Amino acid sequence: MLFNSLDFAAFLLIVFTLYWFVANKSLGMQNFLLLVASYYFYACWDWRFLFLLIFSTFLDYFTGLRIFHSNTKTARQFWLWLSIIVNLGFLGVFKYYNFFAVSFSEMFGYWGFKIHPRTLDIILPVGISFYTFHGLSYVIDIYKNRIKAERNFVDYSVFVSFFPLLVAGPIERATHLLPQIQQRRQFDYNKAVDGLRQILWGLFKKVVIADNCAEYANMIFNNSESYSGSTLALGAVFFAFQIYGDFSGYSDIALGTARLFGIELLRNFAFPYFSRDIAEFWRRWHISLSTWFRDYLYIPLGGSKGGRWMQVRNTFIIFIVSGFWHGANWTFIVWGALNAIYFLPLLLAKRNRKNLETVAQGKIFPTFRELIQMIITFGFTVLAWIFFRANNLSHAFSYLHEIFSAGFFSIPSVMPLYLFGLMAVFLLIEWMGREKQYAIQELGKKWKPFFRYAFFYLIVFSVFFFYADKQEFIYFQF
Amino acid sequence: MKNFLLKLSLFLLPILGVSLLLEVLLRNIPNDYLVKKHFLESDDVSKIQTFILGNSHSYYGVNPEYFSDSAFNAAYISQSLSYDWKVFNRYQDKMLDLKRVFIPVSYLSLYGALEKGKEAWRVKNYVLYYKFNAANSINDHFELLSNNLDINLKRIGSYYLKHKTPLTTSRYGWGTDYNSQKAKNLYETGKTAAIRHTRGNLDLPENILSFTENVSALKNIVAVCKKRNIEVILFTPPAFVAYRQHLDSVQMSRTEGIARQIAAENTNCKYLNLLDAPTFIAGDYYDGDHLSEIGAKKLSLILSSVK
Repeated sequence: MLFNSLDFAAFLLIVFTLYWFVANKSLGMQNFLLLVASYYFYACWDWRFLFLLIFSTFLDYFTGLRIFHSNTKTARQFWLWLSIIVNLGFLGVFKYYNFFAVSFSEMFGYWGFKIHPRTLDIILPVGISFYTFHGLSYVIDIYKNRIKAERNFVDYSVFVSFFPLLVAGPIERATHLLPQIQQRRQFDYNKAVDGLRQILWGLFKKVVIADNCAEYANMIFNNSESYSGSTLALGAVFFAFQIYGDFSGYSDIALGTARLFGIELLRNFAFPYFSRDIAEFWRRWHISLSTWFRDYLYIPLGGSKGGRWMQVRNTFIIFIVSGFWHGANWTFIVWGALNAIYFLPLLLAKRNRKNLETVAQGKIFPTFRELIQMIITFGFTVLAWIFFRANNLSHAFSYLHEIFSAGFFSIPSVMPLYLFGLMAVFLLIEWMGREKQYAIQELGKKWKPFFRYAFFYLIVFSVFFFYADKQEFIYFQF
Repeated sequence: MKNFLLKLSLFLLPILGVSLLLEVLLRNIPNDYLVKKHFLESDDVSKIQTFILGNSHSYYGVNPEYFSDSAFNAAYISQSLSYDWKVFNRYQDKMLDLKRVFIPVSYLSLYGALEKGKEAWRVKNYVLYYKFNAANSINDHFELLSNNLDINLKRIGSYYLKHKTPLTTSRYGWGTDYNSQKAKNLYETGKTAAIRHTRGNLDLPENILSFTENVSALKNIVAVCKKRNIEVILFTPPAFVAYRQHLDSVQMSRTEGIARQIAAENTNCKYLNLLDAPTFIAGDYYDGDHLSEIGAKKLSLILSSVK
């Protein structure tokens, strides 16, 4: 059941109605309803993996309680490591087994030993990377005494499985979401309207921007040997817009949907393409994953406390692990490493926390310097996206080789003018709303009703105009 | 809450009104599915002696007019075997004089499923017009939601304003659209189609599922025909060399193997492999894997003469 489908709209309407009109008398009923709805939502993808989700939920619920009630450090460590090993074990089998089997075989083959790896024909359970990280953060937080273990299994299960975030995040923290699940929620008109606005903007990003860019990005990447350097560069830009529209659009729909139920999820994107350096980009892109790695990997590894070289080492580790989290392919690892290399000069020059505030805050236009900084940062990001999108490393390198050739100065053979127009309008709206949570949060609120409604109807029209059935979200595969 | 629901309803009302109007307009545009259905529900159905099923390969490739007996082509673009079975099962008892059923077993036939992939939007035609219980999502119940608004507005404009007919089906169900005058580059389209039809690892769960469902549908048709003493002719339609060269040998041999096996197990069943039949030359093709009207005449005459 995709967010951009009528099935989801019908599902949402039914759950919303039951939630506020039938289950509104008790918090327990509301949470139970959310859990049933979430499991139904997940079962629509593949009911067989529902058992894996329930098992993973139960494991973390149980180990969380054991850690919390254990008196000795050894016992606490035992339950923590049990949870980590089992969770990562599932992730390893379903997501990474074939990658390691084939990579080891190739490595031994390089040394002259022939090994025929036994690969598994298994489907990746949707959302496994996301709910595994939910569970891990929960047990680690209990171990670190940041939170108490949740005794109510339904409440804990809603934290792991809440349907808006179940299949592609944001990756929530128990410290942020669990207290909201435990509290009585009242309907709030402003929150609900805000949620609908964010859902609409998410749909626009996904259907109008991402899916249109995907058509050209796929065409160019899938036939990259037939295109000139300039067209390939354009293809990479289309992919940059596709992945942003796709993933941040998904996050907007998730956040908006949660808000309809009175729940605030973590913000996942903050206009990353308006960043002035790579460090700022990573503070604005997939925020819930970046902060997860910061809190549960970077800091435990020593963070920035152990001197400059440890900081460099840890930075490389989290970028590479972050790349690997996206998928079992060397392209993702190189993508992560490349971003670490981009980050390195800023780290060494101690300039990685220079641009903390929004660009051109309170102003209409950026300065010329800021504009150049944003263009350069975007350019570097686009180059890295080539590795993310390519089928394999060889494809990525040949793609880059063609871009950095004389062909870069030719006129691109693919010029979808309507798409350039859409991208320009999209960037303009994003720029106008860059100081808000999402671009159209405040847009039109002070306009006359006629213009405000006309604007929203135009967005609805454009979504229907470009809507194509069964266009999946990229991040569902992770 | 009241205020929220009221304002939301007011906002959605014009959208629902316009959607309803567009849905009505779209459903009233004639289409090939309705043409076929009307024929199959008319009195003429009882006279059918030869019934042709399958996907675009037989829709465009088999013209009933070249059969000596009364023939009807119920094939359509991307119609997979499970839909062939639905169509056949719905109307077989009305075809009182039925003697032979032709079913193409193309390269993709056993591994393709209409409800999966790019052509899934066509499922709504079987739900809305054939009235099959085949919907996979709510979208399959609406014309408006099965395609984007751009395509739907063009369809409405073309039919209601420009008065162009969207029909491509002859009276006997053959696809008239693939004319030799408009033939495409056979090498390019052949390669592209072969790649598109290749499923890769055939042992993946989704491929095994499609294979099982398609073989089961095929066996169902053969079994019903056997009971009624109707002959079933399975055939692999001809394809241009560029298409053949890019086929996966495992997928092709498994497909051919199943067709041969079913033919061997059932006395009422024959299998004919015309994939690289030398009779068909470049001029017979519309694109790499479809025949034009010239090729359709050749294939139809070959099939009609099968003893």
